[in-house]
Amino acid sequence: MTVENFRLEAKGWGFLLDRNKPLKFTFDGETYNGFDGDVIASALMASGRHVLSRSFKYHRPRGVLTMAGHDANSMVQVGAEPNVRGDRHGIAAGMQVISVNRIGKLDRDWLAVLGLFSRFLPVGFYYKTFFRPRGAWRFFERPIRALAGLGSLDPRAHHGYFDKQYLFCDVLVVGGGPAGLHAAIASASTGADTLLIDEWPVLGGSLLYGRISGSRAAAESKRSELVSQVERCPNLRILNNTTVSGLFADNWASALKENRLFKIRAKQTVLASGGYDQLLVFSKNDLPGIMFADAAQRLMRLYGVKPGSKAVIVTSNRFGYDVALDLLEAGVEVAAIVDMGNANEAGASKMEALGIRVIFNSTVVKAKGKARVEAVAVGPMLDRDKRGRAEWVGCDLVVMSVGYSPAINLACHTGAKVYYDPEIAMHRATDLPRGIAVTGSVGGIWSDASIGASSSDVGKSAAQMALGTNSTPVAPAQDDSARTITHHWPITESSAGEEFVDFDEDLRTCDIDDTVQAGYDDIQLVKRYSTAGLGPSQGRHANINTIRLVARATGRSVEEIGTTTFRPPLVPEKFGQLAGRGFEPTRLTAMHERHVELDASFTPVGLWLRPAYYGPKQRGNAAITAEVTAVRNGVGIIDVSTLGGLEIRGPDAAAFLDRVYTFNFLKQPVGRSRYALLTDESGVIIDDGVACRLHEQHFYVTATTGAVDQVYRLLGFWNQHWRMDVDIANVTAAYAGMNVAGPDSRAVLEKLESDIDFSAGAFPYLAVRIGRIAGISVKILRVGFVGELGYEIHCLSGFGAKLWDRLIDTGKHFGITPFGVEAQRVLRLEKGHIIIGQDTDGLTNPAEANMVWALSKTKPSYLGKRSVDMQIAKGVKRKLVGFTLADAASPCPKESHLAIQDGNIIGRVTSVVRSPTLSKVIGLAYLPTELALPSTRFSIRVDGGRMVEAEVVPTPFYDPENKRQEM
Amino acid sequence: MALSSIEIFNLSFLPRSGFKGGGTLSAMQARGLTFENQPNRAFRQDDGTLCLVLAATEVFLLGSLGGNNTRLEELETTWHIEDAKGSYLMPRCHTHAWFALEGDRVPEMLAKLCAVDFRPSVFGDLSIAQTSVARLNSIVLRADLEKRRIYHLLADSTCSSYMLACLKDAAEEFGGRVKDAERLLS
Amino acid sequence: MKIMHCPLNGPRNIQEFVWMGDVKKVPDQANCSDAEWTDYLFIEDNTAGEVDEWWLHSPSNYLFVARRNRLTDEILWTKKPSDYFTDDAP
Repeated sequence: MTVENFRLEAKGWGFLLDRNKPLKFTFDGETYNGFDGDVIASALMASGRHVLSRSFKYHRPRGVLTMAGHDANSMVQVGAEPNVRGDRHGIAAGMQVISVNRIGKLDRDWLAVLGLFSRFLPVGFYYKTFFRPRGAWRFFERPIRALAGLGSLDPRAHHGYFDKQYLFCDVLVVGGGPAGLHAAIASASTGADTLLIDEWPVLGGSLLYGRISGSRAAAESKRSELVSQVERCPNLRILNNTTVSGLFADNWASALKENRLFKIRAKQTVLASGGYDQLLVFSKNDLPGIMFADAAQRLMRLYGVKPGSKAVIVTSNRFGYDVALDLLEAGVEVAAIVDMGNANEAGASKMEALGIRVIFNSTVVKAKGKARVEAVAVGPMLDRDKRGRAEWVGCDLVVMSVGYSPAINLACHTGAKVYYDPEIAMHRATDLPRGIAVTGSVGGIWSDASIGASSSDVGKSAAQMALGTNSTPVAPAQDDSARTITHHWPITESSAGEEFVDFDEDLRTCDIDDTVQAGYDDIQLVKRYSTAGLGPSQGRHANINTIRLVARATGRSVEEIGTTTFRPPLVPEKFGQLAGRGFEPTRLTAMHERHVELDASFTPVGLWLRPAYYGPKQRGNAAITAEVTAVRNGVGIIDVSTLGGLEIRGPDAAAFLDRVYTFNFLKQPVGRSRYALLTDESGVIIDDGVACRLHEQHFYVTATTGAVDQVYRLLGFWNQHWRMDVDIANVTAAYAGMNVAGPDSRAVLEKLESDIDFSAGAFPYLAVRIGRIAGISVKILRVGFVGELGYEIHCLSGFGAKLWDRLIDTGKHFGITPFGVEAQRVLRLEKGHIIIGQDTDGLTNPAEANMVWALSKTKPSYLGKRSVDMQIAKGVKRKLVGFTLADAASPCPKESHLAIQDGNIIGRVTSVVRSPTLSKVIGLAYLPTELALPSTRFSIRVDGGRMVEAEVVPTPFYDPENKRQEM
Repeated sequence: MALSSIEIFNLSFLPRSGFKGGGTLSAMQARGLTFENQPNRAFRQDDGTLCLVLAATEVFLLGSLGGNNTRLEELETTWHIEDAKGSYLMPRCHTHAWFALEGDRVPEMLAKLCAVDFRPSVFGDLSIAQTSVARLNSIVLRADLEKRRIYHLLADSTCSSYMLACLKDAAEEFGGRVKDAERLLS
Repeated sequence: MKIMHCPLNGPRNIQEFVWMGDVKKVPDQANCSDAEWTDYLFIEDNTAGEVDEWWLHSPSNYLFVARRNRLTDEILWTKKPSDYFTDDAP
């Protein structure tokens, strides 16, 4: 497509462009030209395209407003990425850009018709409409959802590579404008390691496009002077194209650069973040072609784009006169300068000398035009709200410079207070948290003359405080010229209406009035009801005018209204940036490779990966059954390395355990193991394991996989109180464990070369032996978790794989079968053994879980003794019981299915399986104590609401005399 | 020696040990190790062993990169609980994996995994940080070899593959590669 | 992110620490009354002001005491337990 060219070719325009590198990209399918260095909006404007998007609610055409990524007007979608700020996103060859929030073509959006119905879409209409009649929302939801939102998500978009990185510095300076440069240079020269962060590709801020005392050359030379000083500072680092998005406790800042989120820890932070332009509110002030002075200057200086051919400038400060000079230099006709006051005498007389018309004490009352401004009506300001007779002035560009709102957001993230200073008609930050300073316009310093000295003072003082050479922050500088920047009432209403306060949310002055009328007269409520400031630009350009309107509507002063809270993030953060690399540690046992070779299907258990069963997923049930059968009839082997392991060593080891766990340990013989149940102080069961006495002064205690870290902390915590002569060490990772279980397990071990006598007499049930198997040092526990003859063998993890191989090799003769967690769960349930955390919950006490046998009656204390005694005395309301299904053909319930009697919930299932050994469904459930008696019938509601009949039976379900494990 | 890329070494095959308990520091000094009661500092022994004082109750011992590790062996084999004197042997070869990192940009790379400032001006030779690296409790030690700045990382041995993957990922932008440990030992 | 000064490890991100509860006197569970015991277990002072708390530095498993102002979320100081129990314990 051939289009007019609005490029400024001369030197001095298009600072960021590399005109030797032309690029082509598409916008809504049409090809556009640009240069390397262009952003989407500048390249489109250079080709004469002014409509960049459609507004959120009324689908009004919108164009460039800030050229700084601060508004929602330029939001576009680039490929699969929505919510791209088109005035900051660089173009690339072949890039596909799509406009958003439209049906049909951007220039002829069918939904623009919504604007005609604006009367029927009043403020707060989401809250008022669609909830009546009942069911109306269901009808409206689809079309509304289709209309809402900007851009579309592509669920097939590939995952990007995002990460995070810490940065450390003495002093962090935010903002690379004149104030930030001065502060950074002063800080670095004082000796502080200084980090300067700027959101633009090159340093300079307003010096890149603005003027000093009306001179562009002065600004340019100031910029090169400061930048060359910055580059000479050895301890000054610069991060360009980076935006600080939040400031948090103790000077911790988040900053975004492409796909990386920086986490910055500074000793001191200096905010030189400048200010945000403020809107002039008048009828149709949202037409494309109406933009901020800074935006027009950036378009020309940074991107070499002529923003229009005939301009009207409306201003309340010197910057309006500066931009007039820029426009004239660029060959843009300046139809008029509308000065809202009469104080800028120097600027005005210079203009008049150039033959430019200056209209004093006046403002723009309304604009006209369809897809671009065609003319504005200019009228005198008679009082705050009243305007005199207006005259139309033709133009295709309106440049606004009616004031700023200081970018104090970051200071407020960490708790600085905000107040409105009527002298300057701007907010100020006060009560800055320790270690934070503001400088430049964010601190109310506007004159070019004082910015250097005051910012240098702030930078130096921050450096001294960071280095510890001085502890008193410098007193804030004052600048009277701040009074001449911002107009206190930049709002004009007329019979034409359509005066927009918030472009993102399409809010007009009447909407704010209606909000107050509806009773929402507190600024926090106004924000939430009207949604003012809730859009992508977060109220940067809307906040203060909203406050002014609320002040007018409530008859209060702007100071009295206060402001809404600034919260992080300051700019949109992508989920990818927040997620980063998503560190998720995985723990693998020493035998992991062996399980992989055996085609194990893994299941996560805490941080560990454990074999659920061996074989592919689709044959899971068959594999589990085969594994269970092998253990019951022959021999199996399971990797139990994930069990927690704690060493309790020292003269007080037994006394310490005795004071913690519920059993007696003082007289436990060396070479024996004992069940160890742990309750917390309130008597709730929190863990169990086995305590092996290896020496008078040495116990090795196992803990459940998920709880060992918590148990380790708890033991350390209590020993800090008791100060017993004992050391507690978590050695979970140091040991590999494997349980060889089944009637043939003894035969397997006896075949191995070992110094341990495995005969029943020499190594009875619950004994512990230390020795060697196949040359590897081991400790072996005879335990019966799965209810068969079994040996739990622990060795240092470095030897785990070797020992496993020897056991598998030797066991081959007996058909040794590796079994996984699933089979173990079946086996232990057949024995009626509970799993802490599955069959107990956050309130289960030992009496409820039938564990009173594990409580010492003779010792004075264990951690929760007093509580357990009180609970037993009081009587428990529920008990854990074993159950089977009355009809073996009934569907198998699942964990947490409800026990029902007479239509009431009386309990729940905690564990349940269809036992391959017993050929019936068995499980554990909580029932009321009075029903927890064998033969009681109750119902379980299974999937789909069906009821199955269950019957309470005694446990163990399998081998009730425990003969098999004690063989 | 300036090294612009990052080299990652897996030293887990080398001997290491440790002792823990209220009597550890005095027991270790009695057995000939030289160090001060200064937590989070490492002390070089004459045979190349590094003694990391983690707390007033714990030392972590790293075997010499040069290969003479009779001392560590002796400390382990002669330890018996009967005469422990409040100092208990820890099987550190099995609890912790051991990695070493070399390269000028290692501090930047570690800053992608950890919130501690490891810049050489701040984290001097023989400094120790017990901290979280890639969400794993870890010990980071700087122990230079002559002019070569080496960072050692000790972390849960069961997470060794995970940690190595994290180190490689973080080092990639700095041209990081896993290198044969010989390069470090030579 | 807040910084906490661990008496063993120095200043670290608060993420590395675990709150372990108020420092409070544990009643003798064998001899106290039911009311004393349940008060100890379930009734928190919830002081709006300065409190002494147990904190644990997770990577080194180091337990210490911090005095914190719950109104301002300021950590006033941290101490080794031995120093705390000599100097400050009630």
